[in-house]
This record gives sequence, C-alpha cells and structure tokens, in this order.
Amino acid sequence: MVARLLAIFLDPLRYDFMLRSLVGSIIVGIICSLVGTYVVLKGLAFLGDALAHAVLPGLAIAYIIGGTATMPLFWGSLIAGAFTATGIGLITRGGQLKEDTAIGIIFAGMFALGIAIISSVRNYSVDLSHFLFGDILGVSKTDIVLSVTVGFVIVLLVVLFYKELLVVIFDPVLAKTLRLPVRIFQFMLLFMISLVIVVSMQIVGVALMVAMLITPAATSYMLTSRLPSMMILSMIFGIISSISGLYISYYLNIASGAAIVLVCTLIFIVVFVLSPKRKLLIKG
Amino acid sequence: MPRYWKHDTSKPVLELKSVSVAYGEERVLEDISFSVERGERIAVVGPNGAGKSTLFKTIVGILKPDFGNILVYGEKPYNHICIGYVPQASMIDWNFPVSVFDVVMMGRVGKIGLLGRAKRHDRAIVERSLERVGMLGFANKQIGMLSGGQRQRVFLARAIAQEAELLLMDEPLTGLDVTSQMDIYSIIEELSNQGISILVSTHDLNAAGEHFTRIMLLNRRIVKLGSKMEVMKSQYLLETFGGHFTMVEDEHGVAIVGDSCCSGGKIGREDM
Repeated sequence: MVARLLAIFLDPLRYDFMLRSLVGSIIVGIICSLVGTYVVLKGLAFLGDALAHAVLPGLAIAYIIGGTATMPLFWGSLIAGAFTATGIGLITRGGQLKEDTAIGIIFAGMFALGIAIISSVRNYSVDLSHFLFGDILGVSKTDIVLSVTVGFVIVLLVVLFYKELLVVIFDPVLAKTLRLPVRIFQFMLLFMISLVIVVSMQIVGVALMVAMLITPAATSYMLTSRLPSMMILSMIFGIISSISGLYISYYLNIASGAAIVLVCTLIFIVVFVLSPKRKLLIKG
Repeated sequence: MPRYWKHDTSKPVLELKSVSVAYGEERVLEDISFSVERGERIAVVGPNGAGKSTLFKTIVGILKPDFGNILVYGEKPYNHICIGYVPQASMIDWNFPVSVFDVVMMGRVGKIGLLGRAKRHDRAIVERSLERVGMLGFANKQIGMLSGGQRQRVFLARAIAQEAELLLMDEPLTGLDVTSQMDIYSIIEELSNQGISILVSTHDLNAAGEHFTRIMLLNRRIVKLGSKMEVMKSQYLLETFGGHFTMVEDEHGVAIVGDSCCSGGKIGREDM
C-alpha cells in the first residue's frame, strides 16, 4: 500500500517537466497564500482578480515577440499590471467613480485587449487556454529561477516590514499619525500582489489566480486569530493544494490551474463546515 | 528631516488658526481657530455632519486644510508622532487576527522605527499601558472577543504606549453602557491629570458638561467654545443643533438632550 502510494508520488517525477512543475507549484503555493493573507484582510479580492486578468495583453505581446521565453513574459505582464494599477488610480482620483467600478472597467478592457491580440495569432485557442488556465508542461528552468527569486523577495519584504504593513492594513489612520509612508506601503502591497500573479501565471493561469490568492488565506482566517499563524497555515493550505492539484492534473489530464483551485476550494468547504468560528456564528 | 520635533512646551499643544476644510465644492469646516493647553479635556459637540470627524482628521494630518494653519507645539504637525487617535469603532475590522497586545504594540511602531524590532523596553511599555487601563489580563485575547468598553480601553492603552501628548477620540462612548462610559471617563481624567491633552467628540451634551474642562459647540464653524456655564445657553445650542435638542429641568439644574432626532449616523467621508 505504502509502496503504491510512493509510486504514485514518485512516478511522475521521472519526467523533468514534472519535477520543475512540482518545485514551481510549491513556490506558487507559498507566495500566493502569503500575500493572499493581506489580500483577504484588506478586502482586495476584486483588485487581485482584476490585476491577474489585466496582465493578459502584456503576456500576449511578449508571447508574439518572444514566444515562451521567461523574461519577456515576466516584464510584459509586470508592465501591464503596473499600467492597470495606475489606470485604476487615475480614474478613481477625480472622485466621480467608485474604485470597484474603475477596477471593473480597466480589467475588462485590458482582458479584452489581451484576447484580441492573442486571437490574431493562428492556433490561438491552445495558447489562450494555457495563459488562462495554466500549463504544467511549460515550466522552464528559468521560470523556476525567477519564481525562487521573486519568492525570496516577497518573503523578505513581509519579514522586514511586517509591523508597518500590519499597521497600514489594520488601521491606516494610526499609520498616518505615526507618520509612516502609507502610500509607499500601499504601493508595496500592490507590487507584491502583481509579482505573485506574474510568476504564478505559468502554473495557475490568469483566470483562476484570484483563488490561489484568497482561498487558502480565507481558509486559515477561519481557523486562527493571529496574523503569523494565519500566514503559516495559509501557506500550508497553499502548498497542499498546489502539490495535490499538480498530481491530479497529471493523472487525470486536466488543466493544472483548475485542479489546484478545486483542491483549494474543497479544503475551504471542509473547514467552513467544521471550523469553530462558524459554529460560534451559528449559535450567536 | 527630523522624525519628530523637540517640543517647545511654552507653546500650546495644539493651535488652529483660521482653518477651513472642503470636500470638493462643499465647505465642511470654516474658519476654525482655537488652542489647547497641556492637560485640557475638551468635548467637541455637534450634530451629525457638523464636521467633528473632519476636524479630527485634519488635526491628525489625513485631510489637508485648504486654508489656515495647524500647529503642534508651535510647529507644523507633519513630523510629530505625539498625536494619538482613537478611531470610531465602526472604522475597525474587529475580526482582524490580532491580539490585544498586538494592537497596543502598534502604538510603538513609530518609536521603534523602520526595520527596527520591538525590544524588551517596548514590551514593558505595552504591558504598563495595558495595566493602566485595566486590560493586562486580556493581552492575549483576539480584539473582537472584547466588549465595546474594553475595546475602547485597549485603544486608549495604544495611545498611552504611543506616548501621545495630544489624544483625539472620535465618538468613543457611542453604544457603551453607563459603567463602561464611566470607566473611559475616569481613564481620560487620569490621563489629562498627567498632562495629556484630550479632545473627545460626542453627542452627549450632559456628559460633556460633567467630564470636560471646556466644551466646543461645532457646526461647520465654532459656535461657542468655553466652560459649561458659558456654553450651555439656548441661543448657542439652537445655533448648533438647529432646534434638535430638548432642555429638561430637574433638581440638579438644566439638562440638555442634544440632537435627539438624528444621532448614531456616520459623519463625513471615510479615508481609505
């Protein structure tokens, strides 16, 4: 029995691409769910979803120019992400439109532009579905190096600025009275979300990215009442989901992003039904 | 640029000179001038929409006045970290995964500085602050587990840990039972006796008369600022509340029920 389970686990790792995807998935699981705790606590789920979709034109242009080369895709999507965030900021500044309206407009527009660009290429449906739902066959060595580097940067930022980010998210007014550079930290948060999206795209795909950002974090939110334990638990859920999703994707031949997100969602449902806080709510 | 100024204690803790604030076209505060001395307790009283929250946010530095000056110890306030702010309860996410201790430690973040870590000294200050408001025993509780009065005491402890010299409290007593209100008042009085200046916004005119050294009647502009005797006159109250108050006379004198028809709503815009 144990030998069989081990075989199920080890068998796919004969292939280099599976080994690379496994490492990639673990990193994606860690950084998505770490940054995701901030996304959940600050209520940025919609913005996260929008940013993920809005990188598509950047990806598409980079893809047409450089094919599947890592760095053009990375910069293409990061620039598109920055463009989106700036656009949302500009539209909201006048105060005429609410932020969620601005987000909706920009994100749909960018997403449409991305689809338009990709559809101009032959065989676009295959390429498009890889971008949208992830493609474990496509994880290159450079992808791994990039995601390890980005993962390191994100963990470093979270550790270094833990207390400042906590104050900025929990009580922005206090942050102001303590004369913290609130705007810089808000920008840093957006930057971290964009980075995570860009490096996770290969495995999760843009369409389901928001699930990796919020579902593990929301699951752990129901179980703990301290931020550090919420972060750690969220990362554990993220890793479990991405590894098991990857294997499901391999054996059942379904899109990796969909498999990973389904596992996430399943864990969430189990915790939601069983969690102590929920019981309190029902009693309360 | 210094992180915070050395305080010239010969100057008033807070001074506003002809401050006006507008949201777009709409003037919310007009020509506000007053100063606050060390250890004063001032109640800011006015109906909803009178600009109480706006006034506090402007003093803190979240809103910029489009006219006039704000001075803290005679200097522009933008580098001072001695202004404590207790937000309205509705502004806080009470399910946030932080403990009472964590919340009070947030008050130390300014003093610890960027990239710094909380030292034993900071933890000791946090514990002492919690002890002063009688909440040390709750240090490890998640903040949402506390009652309304306990939550306010935790935020007071945070201001103490911040070593605030000017404390602004926005509607701290809304929704609290009488015992909790008394607890908060006695902490406020103790703090002001130790030299901290405190501004509290409230709907409760009677409490304002009882627990504060001065009362400010605010409705877009300062209608009247002074002692209870100077302020509690029907002409000023009428101007502030526009008739939404009732005077009740009993053996203790005149009691006033202010803004009886429209209390409990939200004021102004929320930042961020």
